[in-house]
Amino acid sequence: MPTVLGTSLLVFLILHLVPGDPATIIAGPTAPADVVANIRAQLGLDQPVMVQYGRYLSHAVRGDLGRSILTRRQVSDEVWGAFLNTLELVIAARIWSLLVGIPIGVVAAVKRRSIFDKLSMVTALLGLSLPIFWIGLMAIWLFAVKLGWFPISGRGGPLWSTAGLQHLMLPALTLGGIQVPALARLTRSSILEALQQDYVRTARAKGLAERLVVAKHALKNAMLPVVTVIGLQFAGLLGGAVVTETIFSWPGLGRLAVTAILTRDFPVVQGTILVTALTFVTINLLVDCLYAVLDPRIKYT
Amino acid sequence: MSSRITLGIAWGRTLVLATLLTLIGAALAARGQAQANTLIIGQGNDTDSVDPHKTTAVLAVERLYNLYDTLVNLDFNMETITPGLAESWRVSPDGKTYTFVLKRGVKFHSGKPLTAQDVKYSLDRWRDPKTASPTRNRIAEVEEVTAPDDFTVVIRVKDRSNYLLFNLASGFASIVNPEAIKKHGANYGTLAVDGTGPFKLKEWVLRDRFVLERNPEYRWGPPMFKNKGPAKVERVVWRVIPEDATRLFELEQGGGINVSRWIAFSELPRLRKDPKLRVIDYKVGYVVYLGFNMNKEIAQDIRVRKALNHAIKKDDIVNEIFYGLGTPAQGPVSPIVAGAWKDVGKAAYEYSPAKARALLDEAGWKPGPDGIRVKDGKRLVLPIHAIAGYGYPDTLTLIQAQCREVGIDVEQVLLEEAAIWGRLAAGEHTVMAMGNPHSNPDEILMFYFHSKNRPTPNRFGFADPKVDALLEEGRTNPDKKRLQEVYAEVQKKVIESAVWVPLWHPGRAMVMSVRVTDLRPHAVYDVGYHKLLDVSVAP
Repeated sequence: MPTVLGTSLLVFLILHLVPGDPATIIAGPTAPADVVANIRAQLGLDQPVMVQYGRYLSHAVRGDLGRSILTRRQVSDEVWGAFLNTLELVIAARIWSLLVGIPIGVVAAVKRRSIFDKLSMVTALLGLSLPIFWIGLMAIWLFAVKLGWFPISGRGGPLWSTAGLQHLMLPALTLGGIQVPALARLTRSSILEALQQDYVRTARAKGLAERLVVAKHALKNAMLPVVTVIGLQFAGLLGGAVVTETIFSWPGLGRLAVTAILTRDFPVVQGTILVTALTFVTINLLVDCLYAVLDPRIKYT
Repeated sequence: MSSRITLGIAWGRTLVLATLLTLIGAALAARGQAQANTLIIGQGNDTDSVDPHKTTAVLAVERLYNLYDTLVNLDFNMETITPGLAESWRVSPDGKTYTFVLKRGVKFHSGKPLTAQDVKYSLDRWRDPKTASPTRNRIAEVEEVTAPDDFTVVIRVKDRSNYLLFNLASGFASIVNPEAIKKHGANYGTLAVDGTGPFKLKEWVLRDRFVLERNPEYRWGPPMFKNKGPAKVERVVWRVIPEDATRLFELEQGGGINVSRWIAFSELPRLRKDPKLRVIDYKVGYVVYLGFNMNKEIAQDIRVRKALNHAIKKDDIVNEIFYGLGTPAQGPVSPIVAGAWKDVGKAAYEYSPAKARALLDEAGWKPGPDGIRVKDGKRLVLPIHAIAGYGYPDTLTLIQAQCREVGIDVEQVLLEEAAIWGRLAAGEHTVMAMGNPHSNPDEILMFYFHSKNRPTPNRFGFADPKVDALLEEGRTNPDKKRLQEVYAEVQKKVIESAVWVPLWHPGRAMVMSVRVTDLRPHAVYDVGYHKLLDVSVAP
């Protein structure tokens, strides 16, 4: 809670320090000064900053985040809708990057110095260095334009509808795709380290099949750093999926935040920051809990 | 132990398989998804609201024309006022009373019949300072609106006005249903809309899609369209596709979108040769200019202002940055607008670096060691304020290079849209670059050159009592022939003062699938799309 409140005050102050006035955007270039002043007064933007913040806060604690200055929609509706869209995208991307990244890392570690290892790690390095907008456009060109497998862009509908699922595929593949290399490389080095440990030697000594040694003993212990990174990446993606959202015309939180900042739509910026801060806090909590599951020595009181 | 692990691996395999199957299934279903009888428009941004009194956005106005109707309309020729909801009107001899006779049988989407009271309510709401409409000044001259009976609307104006009808034809003058506004309050214009237009709002997913459905009862289309209604297409969808390359993919592959005005100019030469596409070039009333702030000392010397006018090669801006889509500007008013001065070429400044140098020499600005001119130890630096987008950065870079040739150091002050207006209102600019749409000379000359409009929108500190008087006469004198002279005189004076460097009149291109027919671009307010009554989309 203090984290969220602190973030909110900080953002509010920064936004008001940066020059820019939403009333002038609403009024357009040909409006005379009195029209702009009237709009500013109607929106309460002529009040002192701390009065504006106080009013915002007193409404916010009662669950009312106010209305967007620009669209006059409820901030809670706008932010929540965009958040769910981004969440959908990020979770889909996360699932498939885990399904691909971790097995590649494990196999590369087990078959160390094999052709597979070298090939996958070079590909991973390449993947790490490619910018996402390029990967995204290439994915559109190949899978949507040339092969016609998926629609090019947009959010076709809710997740459970066919159109919704189709439209989710390409952006999720792209967003997940850029996480696979880091994940694979991290898993590989983590497993390699685990395979050097005493408990692995013990497991092998007691005659356990190699497959089980890796799956049961090495993998679980190697997951600790991987889980940390997954958590960090996940939270970062919720705010940082803006490039993917732009290329694939996905109406998510990243684009909402950028538009709101550019138009000085203060309540909406506040709303997006609030949701992002809450997500970070929640994910950090989840990661901490996962530590305890993976390593019983870690206990929280 | 081991059985649990084997089970885990088996479960993992099932999951992978299931994912793959879903992918393949989705991929197969993705083919052939183009919607029948639907016009899908692609653009880069969404808009704020479709409440006519709460927006100035071009992207909103093109939707307003389709959701609502206006009393009158501006013809495609940008000159003639044609009927709308009013089937006829007359103006009193003193020009101060307008009486409109409404069409009968017009209904809102909600089913409520349109009456004169609704028109009165709409115009009063637009004028009311409490509504805080950003376009309120467009009908500032209106004194009173009355509705003597259900089908008659009377508007009284303070002074005779030549432009009231133009403003009543704008999307901002759309007629709304008072009941819907009262019922939906702050949600009106985003979650709920009620108009009399040819399409109804079906769905608006912000920053994704805006879906309109045909109004099957629409029979009152304005005479400027061939089809009086209902519209030929069942649905119109505005899709928001922020990335240029993605938008182009969607258009070229057919299906995702079938028309867009927002296609990179660099792609047009290639698209013109594509047999699946049709490119329609059209002109809009628009001017892009540089404007001096005459409150700044350096800008007070007319020789400096004239020198800048001579130093810039406008053809290069049009050809090299905008791929030839447009024409170099000679004066402040677009030549397609009625009232543009026909002999503007006589007063315009031609590109001539030699003349620019001579003027600067005469003004005492002598070439310094690095080629930039100096006077009294000061370098000739001209900062130009502009929005960091819409082609301005490229334009200023070109101007920078051209000005260096004559010894002027142009500095780019690029700002985001949220920040620029406040700084221009504070008058911190020496020169600014901007563009504006206009459908008549008053719409641009009155805003920018009447002294009462300082400091905004007259951001140039331009004040000339003679120009003020002429502009006022232009608004009130009913004599058409005299009006031509009045506006010619204003344009001549503006050019002679060299307060502006008119840069260019942008052209527009609408790129559509050949399956789309009878989509005629309209130049008003740079919207492109007026009512989409005649358009059809072949399967």
